[in-house]
Amino acid sequence: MMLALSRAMMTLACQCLGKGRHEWAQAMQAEFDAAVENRRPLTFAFGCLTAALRQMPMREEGRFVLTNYALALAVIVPIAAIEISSAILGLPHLFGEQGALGASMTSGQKLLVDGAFRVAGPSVTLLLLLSGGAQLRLAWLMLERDWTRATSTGAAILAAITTQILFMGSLFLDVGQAVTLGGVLGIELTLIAGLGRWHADLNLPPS
Amino acid sequence: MITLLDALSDRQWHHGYDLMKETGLLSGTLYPLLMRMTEQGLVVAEWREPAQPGLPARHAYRLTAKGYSLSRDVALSDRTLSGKAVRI
Repeated sequence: MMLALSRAMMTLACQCLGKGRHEWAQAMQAEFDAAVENRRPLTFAFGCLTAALRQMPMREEGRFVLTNYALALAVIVPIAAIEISSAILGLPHLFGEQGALGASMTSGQKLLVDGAFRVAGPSVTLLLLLSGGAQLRLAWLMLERDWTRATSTGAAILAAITTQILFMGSLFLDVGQAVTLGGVLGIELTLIAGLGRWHADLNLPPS
Repeated sequence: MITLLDALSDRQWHHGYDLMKETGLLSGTLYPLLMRMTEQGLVVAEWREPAQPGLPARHAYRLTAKGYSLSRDVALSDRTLSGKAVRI
């Protein structure tokens, strides 16, 4: 168990060192056998991992990897979680009587909106669910550095959000949330395009 | 860095793990130091075949002329400082 954990740490350390420090990663890996013989593989592997992590922000390749992971895990995955949870919890959570819109309506308006919601609900929920799933796929593609597929997935999400806005707008439903989501997605896609160009400039292989 | 310079001052080839044992530095400290010293031209690294066949090649490290000169300067200033401390 200890050895397996140490090996996993060594693999992670070598990955963090990247292409620019490949020879150093090999050097650490070669010394790992000596650490195993001395029965101190975990201490050695932990040290190598901390060394590799400390090296990351010092090199452009490391900074690119950190930025890519930060955007994927701290921005895109939470947005996907919001979309999926909105779809699972149900749109009444956002648009119904308890929602921000519902609270400011007269009973007549609520009746109209409820009718429109019953028509639009399943389609909008499906769009939200698909968009959330696609966001998760987008995060995965970014981590794989597959920029062509990431861009096409991003464009598909943007199309889904635009459809959602138009559909909801035509039924006089509140499109505020969807427009905000569309704006965030636009920023996301711009950042992804920038990351793709940065990756191309670094001339790194796909992970 | 001074500890490492001292350990390498014999100008022999040293393996990473042996340097850890010799200096008491952990791998998280040793490797960044070795990387920096190699970039600064103080240390040279080379892949060396193992003594026993069947084992993988290991990276070995040795001071360059510049590194050796620095290690001598450091040792000299260390001795001078020690002498002053004794006189005080």
